Amino acid sequence: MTSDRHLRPRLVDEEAEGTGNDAGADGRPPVADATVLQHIAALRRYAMLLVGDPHDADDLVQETLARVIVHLRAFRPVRDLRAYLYATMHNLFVDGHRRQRNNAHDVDVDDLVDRLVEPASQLDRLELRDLVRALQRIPAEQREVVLLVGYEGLSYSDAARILGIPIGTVMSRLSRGREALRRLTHRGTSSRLRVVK
Amino acid sequence: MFGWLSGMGRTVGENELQAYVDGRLSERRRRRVEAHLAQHPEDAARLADYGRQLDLLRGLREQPADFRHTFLCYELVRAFDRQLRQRRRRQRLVAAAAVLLLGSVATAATFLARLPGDLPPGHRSEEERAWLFHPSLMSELPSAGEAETVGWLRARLGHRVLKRPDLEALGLRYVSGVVLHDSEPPVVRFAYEDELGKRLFVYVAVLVGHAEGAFGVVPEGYVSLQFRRGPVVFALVAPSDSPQLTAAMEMVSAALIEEPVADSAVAGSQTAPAALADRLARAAAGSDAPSVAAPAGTATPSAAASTTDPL
Repeated sequence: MTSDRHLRPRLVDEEAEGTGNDAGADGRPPVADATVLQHIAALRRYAMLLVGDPHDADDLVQETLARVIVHLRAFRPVRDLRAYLYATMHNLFVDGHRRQRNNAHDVDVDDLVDRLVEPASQLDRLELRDLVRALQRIPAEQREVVLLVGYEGLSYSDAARILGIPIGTVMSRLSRGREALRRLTHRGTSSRLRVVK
Repeated sequence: MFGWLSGMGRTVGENELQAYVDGRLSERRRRRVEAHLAQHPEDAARLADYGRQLDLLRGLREQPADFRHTFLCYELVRAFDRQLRQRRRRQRLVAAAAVLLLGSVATAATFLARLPGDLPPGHRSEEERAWLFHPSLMSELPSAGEAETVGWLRARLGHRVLKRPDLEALGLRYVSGVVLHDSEPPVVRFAYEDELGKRLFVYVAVLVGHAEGAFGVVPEGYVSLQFRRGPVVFALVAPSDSPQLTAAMEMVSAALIEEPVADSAVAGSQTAPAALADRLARAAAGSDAPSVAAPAGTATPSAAASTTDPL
């Protein structure tokens, strides 16, 4: 089973670890003002998109939180709590995905979208449903990158750090993942060109 | 030195196109990509589709938070956050006091180690135990309907299942279920009503570690009957002329079902918080008295006398 231990050189302050001192190397508290609590909602939606099943997603979130809390309770400083949460979830997901690869089941996309989106939302539910369904059909490693960059809005370098892969691999997975989604959602033509500024 | 020249004749690569979609290019590079897209409509169409994917995904982030299905982890994290803040505050105070009065960091460390809650590493499990069942963390649960109420209990009962007691056979119709926040330990209350509108209340609390609790005094004209099964404590509160109290007690007790779950299955299938709750519940069950009616004055849900009680 993959441990979060291998993440520590990148996400955890090794020198301060285990000292019982709750200040990181930069002098700030390890969790600063960003507490675990404020990440739960985003983490849960990310998990739903990642695993495609609300119950499995809740299990994944709870397991992630339990691990991170055990880590933090030992007062081991974490430089970037958000990144550490996602990295821990990634490890647990990879382990679980490896175990359950042969037990893939159909996703109830409508149920998933209902849980992700409020009834009164202005989001296009049909488009979202197609996208959620397509997400479950692309390789997990591409899905992770697409979600970390697209949904979470992480930088390429942060995504690379969380997943433990080079930035070049992030870029190629992102490109292949987006193209796969595009083909699966049958979006052959576009009405407009959108630029994020 | 002539870096700007190197970009002049270069074709736009796929990475640059992806970075353009994500809005991560400098102004100069963005203009270069736009010039490329103007000459390559197929790339422009492709990037527009990627942009739409991005719109949909980021739109999800704007949705309101929903904790209905994550009670346990939400509570745990909230409690942890609070404890972390309290501990920091305490550490700062102690450190300051130690520097002023003793002038010795070593003394401060010794003092810290003796503070309640800061148990040595060998007692981590005890600390977790206090943490998980700390009354304050449960008292902040939102109000819950029947499904959530039963689910809330389920998360604390480990390998036990408490179904909502069905008292229809006694002519008692189920009215409501709610988690009472203002009691220690927190209590779930189910309300039933007979055809004359008289109400019977069933209080359920889960005790861990210690079985002592405040005795709730019921209003005049009512009687209460308390009993326990392992760590689960029940109190029935009904009008004093209620004829079905003993029968109701049997039905309520029967609603608590022991699930035959093997230890290995529990460890393998449950999430960590659930497994921890299960471990603690079973530990408490092992150390508690058998399920007999407890004498007056022992563990009883204090919420029976709560000021918010509609009685």
